[in-house]
Amino acid sequence: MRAPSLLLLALLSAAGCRRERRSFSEPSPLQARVERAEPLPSGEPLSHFLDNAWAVSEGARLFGWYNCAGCHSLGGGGGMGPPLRDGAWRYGGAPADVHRSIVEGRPNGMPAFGPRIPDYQTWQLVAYVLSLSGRLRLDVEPGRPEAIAIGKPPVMVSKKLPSAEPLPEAP
Amino acid sequence: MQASSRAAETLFIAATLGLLVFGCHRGPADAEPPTGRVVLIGGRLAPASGVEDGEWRKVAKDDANTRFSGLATITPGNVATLRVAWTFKTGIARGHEAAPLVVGSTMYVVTPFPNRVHAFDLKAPNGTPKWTYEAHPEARAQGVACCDVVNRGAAYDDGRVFFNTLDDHTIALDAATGRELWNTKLGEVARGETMTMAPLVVKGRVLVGNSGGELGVRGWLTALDARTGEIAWRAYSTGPDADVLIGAAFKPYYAGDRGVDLGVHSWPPERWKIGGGTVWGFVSYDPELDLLYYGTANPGPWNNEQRVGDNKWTSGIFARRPADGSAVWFYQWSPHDLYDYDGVNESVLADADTPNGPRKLLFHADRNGYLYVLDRANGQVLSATQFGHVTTSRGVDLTTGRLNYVAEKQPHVGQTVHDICPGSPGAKDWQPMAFSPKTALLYIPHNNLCQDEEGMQANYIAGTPFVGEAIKMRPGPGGNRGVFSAWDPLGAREVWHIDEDLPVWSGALVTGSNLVFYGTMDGTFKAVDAKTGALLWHAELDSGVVGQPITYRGPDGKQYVAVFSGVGGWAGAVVPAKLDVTDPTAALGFVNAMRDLPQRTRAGGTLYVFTLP
Amino acid sequence: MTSTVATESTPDSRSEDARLERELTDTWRLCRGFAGWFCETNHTVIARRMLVTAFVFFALGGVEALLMRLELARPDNHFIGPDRYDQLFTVHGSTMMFLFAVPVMQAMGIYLVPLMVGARTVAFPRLNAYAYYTYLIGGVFLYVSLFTDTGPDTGWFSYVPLSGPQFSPGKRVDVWSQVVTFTELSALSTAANLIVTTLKLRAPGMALNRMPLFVWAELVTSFMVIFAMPAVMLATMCLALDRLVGTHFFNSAVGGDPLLWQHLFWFFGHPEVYIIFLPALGMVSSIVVTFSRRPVVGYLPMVLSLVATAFLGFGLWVHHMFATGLAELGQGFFTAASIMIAIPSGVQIFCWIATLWSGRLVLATPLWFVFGFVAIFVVGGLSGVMVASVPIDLQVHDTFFVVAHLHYVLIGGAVFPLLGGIHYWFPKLTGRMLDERLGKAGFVLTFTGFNLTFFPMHLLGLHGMPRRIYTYRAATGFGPLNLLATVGAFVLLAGLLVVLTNVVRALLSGRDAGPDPWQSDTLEWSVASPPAPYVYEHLPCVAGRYPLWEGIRDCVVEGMDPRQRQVLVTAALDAAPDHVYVLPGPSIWPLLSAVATGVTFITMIFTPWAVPLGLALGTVCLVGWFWPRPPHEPLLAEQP
Repeated sequence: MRAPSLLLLALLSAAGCRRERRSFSEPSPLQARVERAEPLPSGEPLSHFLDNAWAVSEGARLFGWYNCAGCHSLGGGGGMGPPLRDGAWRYGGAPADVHRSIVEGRPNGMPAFGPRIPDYQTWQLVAYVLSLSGRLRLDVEPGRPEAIAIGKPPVMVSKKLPSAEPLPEAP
Repeated sequence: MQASSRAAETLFIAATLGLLVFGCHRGPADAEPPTGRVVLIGGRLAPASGVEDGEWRKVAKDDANTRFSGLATITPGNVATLRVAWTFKTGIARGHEAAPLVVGSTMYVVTPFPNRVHAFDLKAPNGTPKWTYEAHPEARAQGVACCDVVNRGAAYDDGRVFFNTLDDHTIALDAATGRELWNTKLGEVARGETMTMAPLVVKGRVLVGNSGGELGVRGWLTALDARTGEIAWRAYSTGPDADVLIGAAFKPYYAGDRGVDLGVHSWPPERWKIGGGTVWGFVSYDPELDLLYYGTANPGPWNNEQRVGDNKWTSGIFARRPADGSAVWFYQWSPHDLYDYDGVNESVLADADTPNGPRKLLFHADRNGYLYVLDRANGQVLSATQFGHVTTSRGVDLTTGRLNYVAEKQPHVGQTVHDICPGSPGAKDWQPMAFSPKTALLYIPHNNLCQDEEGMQANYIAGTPFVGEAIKMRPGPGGNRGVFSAWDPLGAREVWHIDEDLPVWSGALVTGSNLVFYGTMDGTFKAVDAKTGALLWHAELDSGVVGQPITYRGPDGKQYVAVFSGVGGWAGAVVPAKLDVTDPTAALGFVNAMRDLPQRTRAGGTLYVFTLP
Repeated sequence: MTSTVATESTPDSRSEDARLERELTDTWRLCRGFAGWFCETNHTVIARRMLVTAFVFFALGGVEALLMRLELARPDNHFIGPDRYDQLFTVHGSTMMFLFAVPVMQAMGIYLVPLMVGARTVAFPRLNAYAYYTYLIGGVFLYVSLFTDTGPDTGWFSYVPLSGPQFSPGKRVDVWSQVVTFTELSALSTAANLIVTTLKLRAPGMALNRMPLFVWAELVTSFMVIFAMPAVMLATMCLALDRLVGTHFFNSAVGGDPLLWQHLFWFFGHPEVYIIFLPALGMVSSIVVTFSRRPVVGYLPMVLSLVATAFLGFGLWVHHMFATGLAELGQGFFTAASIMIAIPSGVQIFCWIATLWSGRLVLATPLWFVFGFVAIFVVGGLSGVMVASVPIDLQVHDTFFVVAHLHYVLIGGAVFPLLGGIHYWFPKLTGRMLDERLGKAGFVLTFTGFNLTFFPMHLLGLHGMPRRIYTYRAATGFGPLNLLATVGAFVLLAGLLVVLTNVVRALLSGRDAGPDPWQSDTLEWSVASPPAPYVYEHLPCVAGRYPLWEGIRDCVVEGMDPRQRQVLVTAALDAAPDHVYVLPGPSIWPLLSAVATGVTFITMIFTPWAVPLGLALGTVCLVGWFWPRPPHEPLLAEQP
């Protein structure tokens, strides 16, 4: 009986490991909008978006869904809008900068999506946008899409996220 | 007169040869000429308008869109000595697609965003600036310009210069001083509308259209009063007949275009409101018939499964009365367009003296790969011949006028269709061709591109792209991405062609001395022999050429040739916008075919003026 | 020829026997101490571990099932939520199929086949240990991932593109595909082991037509494993490549084919059902023969049915894919094949009924489970014939009807015979008798609970309840039947707890069983319970199908050297003695190799560098594994 009890113990100890969280009960868009004054209305620290493969994958879906891909192209190579996978940022590449670009828009044509996208989805988009230039952990980056092949960016820029502004943490 | 009879002779021989070729080429079923085909062989061609004045008052030189100048000082014999007379740097490093205008001793150019207008005094040496006008368009308009922030030129009439800004203003300037006379706002950037086309002025009406077929914009052509800037009429490309200005005078040649409110019923409910059909190409005008001709762009979104139906009146051509805009006839090049085959390419007007009597013709090289010859009086298709590599369709049925699509090449959501030829930029995009009445040939700058494409759900959010296709373009058969060819429209055959490695994204110019000018995207500006295609002269410019070359006689009596360099546009945006060539879907898939362009040229914006020493 | 077959028992003295026993014990001694625990390669020990591990996974899978039943017990329930629920049903299915059903049947084979064919152990004891550890590491890995919320969530057949890189982000499906790949590696190793053991280590005289039906079943199953498992390993490797390296095997947009996944998976997946089911049939045959007290009716048809099932089982995988849009001809073919497979199963059922009918029945608990099996399996078989027809399949596809059907077939077809087999062979495994009253109570509860749980699912499915939904609206009317099923699940749990109690009680204070408590016919009952590590003091020889009923004890093999781990290799068909082969002893290397395999497969989820790493580790381990043994004394040197 030693074997199974050891096995069980080992398994139970695994329960203490860091988990990949997937929240299916996101706040309703309305609620998120009301709470947008907060940096992160869902009350989760930023790392739950940036270090979370699920969030990045949702971001990838939303990137097409909210027509981001129409300007920045599916693989982030750009088109009507500037490329997002070259590691160059007009308005800063810190997560908070990218978030602000999406929410408030930028003068040279980036529309303000604030009224259209609930905040947690905006953070998911931020996570995906940062992944395009290889800025997220390897195991968090999205795999290849089930679509026309899009290559990975050729040069992996620094994995360290720029922290020009302090990352907002959960209140 | 002698010249014209020689031209007629040449034409006759060419046409006879064409007939022979056509006879040899007659394949099975699809090559069989359908009933109703009009035999044009033996016809004589002349441009519908034009007396040589040595000026270049309209972007296409004349209302018939010929881009033919009778000037003949620069000849095949002396063109090799052509050299730069003067240059002007615009200071803007985006795609320069505009044609300069030369009126009297002044040259007018309009730049890409931020849409400056420069006037140069040609009497002074080396293009001394006369005045400059700053339009100050809204910066956010750049975000809704599908294919670089280009402008295709200005218009001149009666002491006024008219042009469009990217943020949907049409502005009239005093040609002498550059003072703003009026400024009319015509569209909403927030809805995705931009304006890039060159206006045409007809009978005191400034005709302008909008761009934004990739953003769910509802297309229109608007006529403004040239004196006041007031809107005289606006003809939409989709929606109820009242909006499209379809009335009792509307007599389309084909039965499929007749009916009530087809602009509503050929769409899923309400979709016509975001259905595209913008008007961003060149407008032609026939003063005898008093008809305007212009093409309408692709329906939106590109994903065709979201817009079941013929999607009238997109990807087609309208003939309208300039006075009230009422439609006279319509023909749809690509009913229920599947591949972003805009129908906006320019129409060249010419008259043919055929054995069956004189015909008023219209030549149009469409994105879908066919060169159409239409009877411009009634919209009947007289012939439609492939001028590029086409896999998406099998000919045009001349009895119904419909394009026969190839079912296997129809894009579907979640499924990749390979080898779509021509690709979305078409066998020929906006780059205008030239027509020489002397050789009776069309000189067509065009693309040789194919693509793989996968449909996706497109969501409409005002002011953002409404496309729904993932695309990867690549060179067509042969590996050359561009072609410059001379085409005999009546013989429906190619006379000569030059394979170009890059898409030929510049306009063409042909002169009375049988010289043809065009530029390439790696920055080479070329002069070739109009009869043989032999390269006679070329110059390396500082950036790729996507502009429209013109020629004029200066106040000093010398013949000049002018063209913008400044790579950009949809094909060239990869350079000035620094798009990432590792993403094959960038710039709606065009980048995949243009990965090498950033190494071949650099961004810039320079007006070059050449002349003989 | 180094051994002889004596037809008369030799008149050796008692001291001779004692010396032999001492030497055998010494040679085959089990390892001792903590380190010895990891070195052991004795097949009874490994098989016992494998059984216990498999039942632990069965319990874990059962807990997952109960959690799901609780979630579904009433409408609009949010006890677990969609994300956990997805992980639960995926891990439940994967556990039951990959970590319980196949290993438990193979464990029974590993334990019983050598005993039944009269061999001292399996042909490849180290491979056996390697297979066990690989399986253990795979199973633990799956559960570690579940406990860290990285449990796979795409269903036990993980269809692409859902399980592809785009729609299953993170490492969840990678975990699943690697677990499948290397538990199947374990199954393949065990299958090879069983085939060689069966074909080459049988007691002299046990020709193929004298093999017990259970051994036949394990043999046929092992062949099926060898043909079926590579398909799924190939599929999961392709999936892993798609996900980790960005290949496009299943990406239709660039010429890949998602249906390829379904073909590869079900080419394994359907035979998998028979891989689970055939050993159970073997157990049923053993139990039926023993408790009818007569030779089985129709030995030859029974064997041919097993073989026919194996062949047909490979010809009907497409019936899982009727809803993908098949050509008419394909539909017709696979419908016919699916219905045809009922024939060999029917033949066996009738043979058992005939055996029972004409035998003198001893109504012990194992036989009760067999009766339960027949009843449930017939229902499952009938619903199987129903879903074999395309129109019905299209209607009930992906509904609870399918869930009901597959549980009737798998629990009815495999778990009930297995429980019968456990009750039947428990005395042999432990030397203790199970309590008959508790055993029968356990049967009644499990049988009732099972039917209460799964029969309502047929109706739910017909009413349109889709499978794999974590909750449903009250207005659907699914509530009462779901509640009934949940109640049934707890009755089933009670039944299994009674069985467990019975086992624990017997282990603590069970009646001593003796070598042959049931007066059975097969060779395993001729040795002590539990068997000594060397199993047979004298290797037996056999002259009929029912050696114990025919007087085996008069015939033994002479001349094996007890000081070496010798096994007698016999001919594949007629089991004529051929030569003696010396097996390697205990070793740590199988465990280390399994760890290397595990490390490689798990690291592969994170980096392609795992491949060179695994190559290096594997090389080291294999060198250790195959390091030349110290030379043995020549066998004949000591002989007079």
